[in-house]
Amino acid sequence: MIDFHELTYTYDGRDEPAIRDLDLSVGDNEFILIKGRSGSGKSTLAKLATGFLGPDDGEISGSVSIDGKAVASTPREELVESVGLVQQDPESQMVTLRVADEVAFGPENLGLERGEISRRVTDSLEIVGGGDLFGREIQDLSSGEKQKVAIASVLALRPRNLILDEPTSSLDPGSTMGLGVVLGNLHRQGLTIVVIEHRYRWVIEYIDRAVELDKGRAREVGHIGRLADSAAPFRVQKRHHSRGRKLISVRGLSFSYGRRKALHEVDIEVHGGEILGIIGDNGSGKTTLISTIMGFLRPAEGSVEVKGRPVQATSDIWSDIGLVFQNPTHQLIEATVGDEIEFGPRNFGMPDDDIGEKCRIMMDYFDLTGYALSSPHSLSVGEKRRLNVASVAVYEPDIFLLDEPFIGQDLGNVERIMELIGSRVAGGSACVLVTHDPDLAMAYCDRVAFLEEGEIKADGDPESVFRYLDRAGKDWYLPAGWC
Amino acid sequence: MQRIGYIEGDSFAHRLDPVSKIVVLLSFCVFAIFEMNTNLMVAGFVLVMAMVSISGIGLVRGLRKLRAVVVLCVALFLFQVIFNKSGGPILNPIPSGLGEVLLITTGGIRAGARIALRLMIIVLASLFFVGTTDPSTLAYSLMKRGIPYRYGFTFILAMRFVPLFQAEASTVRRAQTARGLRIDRPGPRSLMRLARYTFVPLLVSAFRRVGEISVSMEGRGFGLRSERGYLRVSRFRFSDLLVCLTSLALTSLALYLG
Repeated sequence: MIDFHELTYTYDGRDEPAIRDLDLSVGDNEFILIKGRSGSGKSTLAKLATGFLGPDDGEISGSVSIDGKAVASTPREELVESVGLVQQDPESQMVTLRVADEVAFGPENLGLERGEISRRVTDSLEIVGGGDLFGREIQDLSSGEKQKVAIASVLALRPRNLILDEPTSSLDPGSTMGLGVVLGNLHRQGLTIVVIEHRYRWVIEYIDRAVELDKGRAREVGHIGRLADSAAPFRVQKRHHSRGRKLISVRGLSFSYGRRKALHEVDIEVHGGEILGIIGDNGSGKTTLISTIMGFLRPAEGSVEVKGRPVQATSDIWSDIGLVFQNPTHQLIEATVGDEIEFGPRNFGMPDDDIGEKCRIMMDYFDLTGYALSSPHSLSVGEKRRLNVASVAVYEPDIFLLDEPFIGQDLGNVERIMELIGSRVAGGSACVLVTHDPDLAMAYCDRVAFLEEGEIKADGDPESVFRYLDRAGKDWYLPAGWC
Repeated sequence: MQRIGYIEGDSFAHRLDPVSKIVVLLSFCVFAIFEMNTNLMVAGFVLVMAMVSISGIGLVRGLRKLRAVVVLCVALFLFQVIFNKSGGPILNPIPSGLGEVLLITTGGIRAGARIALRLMIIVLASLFFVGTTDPSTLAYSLMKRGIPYRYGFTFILAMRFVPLFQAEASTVRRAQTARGLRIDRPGPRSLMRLARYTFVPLLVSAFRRVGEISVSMEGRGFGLRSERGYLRVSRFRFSDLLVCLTSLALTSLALYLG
């Protein structure tokens, strides 16, 4: 049981509270969803419930209790056996190099006997459906397997309450659906579960109720059925029908990392005036394809041409391409937001007058004008992502390559960015959008390619590709409301 | 140089307890540093090469990984052969009367061989240790034998996160390149610029990871007790004892004879 009573929490150095007068009670063996936009206080709530935020980090009033005991006054040793937290990125929460060591880490810290540790490791891996992972190395696991191990590692402490903070953000649709099944089983076994997500379609069938967090305040979401109805997050946009000149041409492309084949005889063309969505499981070769188009990787076989010129690792094509990676932080290099946007145009030799004007337009469009002199790292997750896109859109590339750009982004931010991309595509640019999100692909892409184990299995308009995936039994790749 | 690291395998060497392999490594190091008898050093060199070749690493693969060290050893040997004129003359390619610039002497060859062998023995013994010892097994083995577990996990965390940071650094550099950052003429200024542009995003990312890993570790009770339990079992078998005693005995004998 988790109880938040009249809870208000303000981080040190901030004026606005992250959590405001929050009253929320999660009963024994209840499974709830907490949804909300980026910055609505979801992660703060998770950390308050697990004792990782307290008076040392900010100002707190009200109370948080777990199983009737106030979190603030409960010793950590007791707390770790009451509540477990699974964070967003499984990669960042793994301590050891092997699965068995990782799951054993918690029980070992409690000083348990070897026999008991061994039992807990086996049981926890079995519960998450990861019994076969026991002897594996962490670095060899897929993202879905890593997340299973992360959950098993927390379960090995036998907590009665489990909190998962955006646990699917780095998972592909198949692994996401698998996680839903695991949590459903845990719930049936008596665990109290809180899932914090802003993309929640995968969990709806398992939850008892949902709560929406908005600016730190909680609001009960009505009937779950209505939540399911609203789970189709995007309005399908009008397709771009004017196919322009060929901007990217990939022929017979193969690439291997050592002995592991990442791409196998890939043929794909992208024309001006179209948004091509590339979907596929983690490790299916999506990012490798983007990297070969950029010339960062030299293909073993086949050719890549951008605007009719063969691609090599030279700079002559880079001003034609706007590349946005998955992690916003990796692309923020300048000291101020203004300099960050000017970085590309200056390197590409744009005249100073143009730079000033274009940067102003970008900052206005993405509501960044007020931050022109601020550090990019002081921005929120959504603002950072808008800044990344502004920093490449400003030099008006003919091609946008967006590699999983919307992980951890709320819908409003996605819509805003895609609106800009859509307008550029309507003007003759092209966009290749790598995504795990079938709803996004359905809503915004003119064409979708499905990549599996390095091969393009389907390529066509979204409806035909999703029909193919439907026939292939890959239900988890189908957009909301598909029939 | 190729990456030198653990090579998965199931050889006798892989099955040895890491502590016995530390004893072997230290024995070879002591031998290489203090032994003065060139013939015994050649014997030690042959022995360590044999160990590498039957350990599952393979001598050819091992030497390929150590290509740069092999080149350095050859250079050190040639340096001594050319410049060390001690001992008796063996060969003088330049006619007498024109000087002794290229005179090759027994002293030069012996000194060159000793330096090169010293380095090769230490490096090959290290390769034997690193190539057959799983870092996790090493860390857990040392923790179970009294090394404070906080130090042990510092080592394990480093092993875990260094490859992640390497991958992130590569992504960061690609992101900069894609936005036109060019280092055509590498000079101190442009290198400083590149370092700054790479360092800042990596540092921010590292802070995020530190925050997440500490929540993950504390949330699973790390540091709550001075003693912790272990799932892994370390077995110091009879074969380990035999290996340790043999290493110590051979090293002592060689030093005594030398």
